Amino acid sequence: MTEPTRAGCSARAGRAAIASASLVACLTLGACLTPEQAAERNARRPPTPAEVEQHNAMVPPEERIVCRNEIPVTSNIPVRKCRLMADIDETSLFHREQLRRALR
Amino acid sequence: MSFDLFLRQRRPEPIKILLLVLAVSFCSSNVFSHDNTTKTLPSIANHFSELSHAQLMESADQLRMDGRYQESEGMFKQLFASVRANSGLFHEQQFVVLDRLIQINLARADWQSLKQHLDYHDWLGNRLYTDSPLQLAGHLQNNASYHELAAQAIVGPARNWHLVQTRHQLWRAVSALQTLPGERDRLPPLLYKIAIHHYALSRQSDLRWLTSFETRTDEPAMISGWALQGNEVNKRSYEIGAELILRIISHYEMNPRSEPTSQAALLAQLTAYRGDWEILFERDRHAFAFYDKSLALTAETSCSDLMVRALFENPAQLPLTTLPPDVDVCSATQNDGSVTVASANFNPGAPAIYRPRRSQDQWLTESPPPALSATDTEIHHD
Repeated sequence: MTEPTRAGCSARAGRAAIASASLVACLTLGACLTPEQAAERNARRPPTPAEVEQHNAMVPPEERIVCRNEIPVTSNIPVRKCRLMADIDETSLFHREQLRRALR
Repeated sequence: MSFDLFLRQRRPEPIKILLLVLAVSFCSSNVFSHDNTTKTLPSIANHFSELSHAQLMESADQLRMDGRYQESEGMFKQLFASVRANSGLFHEQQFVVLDRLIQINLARADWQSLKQHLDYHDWLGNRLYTDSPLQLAGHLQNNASYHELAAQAIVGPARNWHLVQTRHQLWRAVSALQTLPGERDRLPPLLYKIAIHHYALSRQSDLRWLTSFETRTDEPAMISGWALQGNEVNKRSYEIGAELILRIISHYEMNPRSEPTSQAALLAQLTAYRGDWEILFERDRHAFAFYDKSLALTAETSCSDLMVRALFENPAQLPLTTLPPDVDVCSATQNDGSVTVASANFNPGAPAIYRPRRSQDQWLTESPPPALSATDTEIHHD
């Protein structure tokens, strides 16, 4: 087993510096979005609470939505989900029915 | 088969003659009687003349102002029918009488009739102003103000319904104005009003039927099912208000005033409003971050001492119900020494909330004097 030389150490440090610099560069470049990408990302984000309320004020009751934080089965991180009120009611009814059947 | 043919085929001759005689006599009697009545009776049934219309309106208004609501309402109902008969079912002249009827309903606490009149007011406005967003927005704000007045007078679920309807109408007005890029300056007061209504709703102890009013139906009725919890209502109201105040701030950042000083003064005041919102929802630590930012912005004005005094040295009861007045704060404070900002207490049982005060470069933590007017807070300056 050979002792690590000063030159070897500095070479390794240099490679690590290059690797970290390239990683930072990748992340920085990745963070820069074109206006189209930014618009697309914006369009994909769930609506804010104020946007939800504005939507609900403009449409009839059957088209109104509710957004809330839900914790998915496979994770502990809450995710904001928006659903039609009618869907929430139907799902809730379905789950109640299933539970009743299981307990019978 | 024509009537003639029917008579010829199915009826014998004498009956045919008898029927003809009867028909002729009926027609002639109608004509004569009509002639006679037009000569003797004045035309008051559904057709008031313009002059008598104005006179009736005046006397009905007088009765209303004298507090004789029942008689006044009877006259206005007659006038309403007359306007519909004279001007047609889709004419904006109806609003003149309808507004009076709504005011009488409010004064008499006749909530059933009020709802019917407000529904009609809303429907007619939408029917008339669909192609004119500016007029539609004005009309919706008018309707919202009636719901707001009703909400101030009622308690319980009915109050929640009126508050929700107020918000819905204001949002519709916002949506109408958003279609007109030249009218964007009208948005901030409306957005702030919506935020204030959220605060009013979050102070309600009785939130029954709220989800039903907001998402399930437009009627004041309960449809059972999944509902928001009280703390969720509170959190959502906070989030919406915070978002709306930030939208107002960014509106003024994107449309700056010509004078840099007044722009900085306006932003300083609005940032203080953002801090107030945090105080109202008991998030004091966040509030002070906004107040510090507001202080930093006052340093950019030509009257920073006056601004600091105006904003933080005199107790202001929260929430302030209107946005800062559109005046040059520095010259206004130097001229007459005061800027009036309206405030309200939506939770009469609870102690009033005040903006934190600042003295000698330090935030004061003690409560401000309780003997402050509950409706208006006048901020005095040197």
